[in-house]
Amino acid sequence: MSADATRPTPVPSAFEVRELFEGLLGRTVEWTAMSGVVDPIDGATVGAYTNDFGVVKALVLCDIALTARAGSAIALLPQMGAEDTIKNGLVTAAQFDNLAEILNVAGSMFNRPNAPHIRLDTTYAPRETLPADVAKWTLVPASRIDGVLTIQGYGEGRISVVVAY
Amino acid sequence: MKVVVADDSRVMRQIVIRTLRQAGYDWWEIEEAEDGAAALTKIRASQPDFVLSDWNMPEMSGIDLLKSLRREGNETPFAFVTSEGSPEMRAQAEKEGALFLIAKPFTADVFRETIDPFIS
Repeated sequence: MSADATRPTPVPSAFEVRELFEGLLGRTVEWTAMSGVVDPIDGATVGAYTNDFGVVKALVLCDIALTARAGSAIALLPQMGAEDTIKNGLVTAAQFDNLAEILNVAGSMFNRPNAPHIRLDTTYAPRETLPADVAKWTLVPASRIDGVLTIQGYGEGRISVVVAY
Repeated sequence: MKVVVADDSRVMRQIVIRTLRQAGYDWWEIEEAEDGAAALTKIRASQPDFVLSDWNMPEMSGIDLLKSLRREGNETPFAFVTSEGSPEMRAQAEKEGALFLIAKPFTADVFRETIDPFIS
């Protein structure tokens, strides 16, 4: 953590989340706010971001549909493969690796001037057991943004972004 | 114009190349490298006009790749495309002789605005 970290890690805006996906996928992405959250119990890829001391400071959770659809769209994998994943609930290694790459770049949403430096530490696959210091933040009601991302040509999936406080 | 794009993520190499094309550099002949060590071998062999490299890579990081090139007297124009663009990293990149550092995520406009001045 740099000595001039005087502001808390920001919760990214819907615009920033949408822009991140649109820029990386190279296709139109729309955001719709949702009242629910992405719950790891239902299956979700979870990116855990830590500060320079290894403390979990933020999470990004993508449900299986977003993992399959964004993980396919970014590499121009067939949309039908994503639909198969959603039907049988089994994310492919390529879809997971590709989404992990998106989550790595997503770290930029949290790093702002005067805010603590954080980076992606670990990406957990759907239904992988989450360590306690990650799990405890997944369902907190505050300091978060939840929405549905609709990817042109691939369809929609849900995302939750949580900043630890 | 021959260009080497080095990144340990295949999908990120694809995105960098796609964005270069969208930015108008579709005439570039691009060679991919999956880490710094592979990039060093390819740069020595094909003598490209420009290198675009990730920072964090296995085998050899981007900054170590740049240092290795300069140490052997290779002055190929070199720039970074990385997921982190802290002031410290930018300073280190500049100190070692990198032309610029583009932080991910990026757009075709950012590529064009950053790269064009060096092309002309």
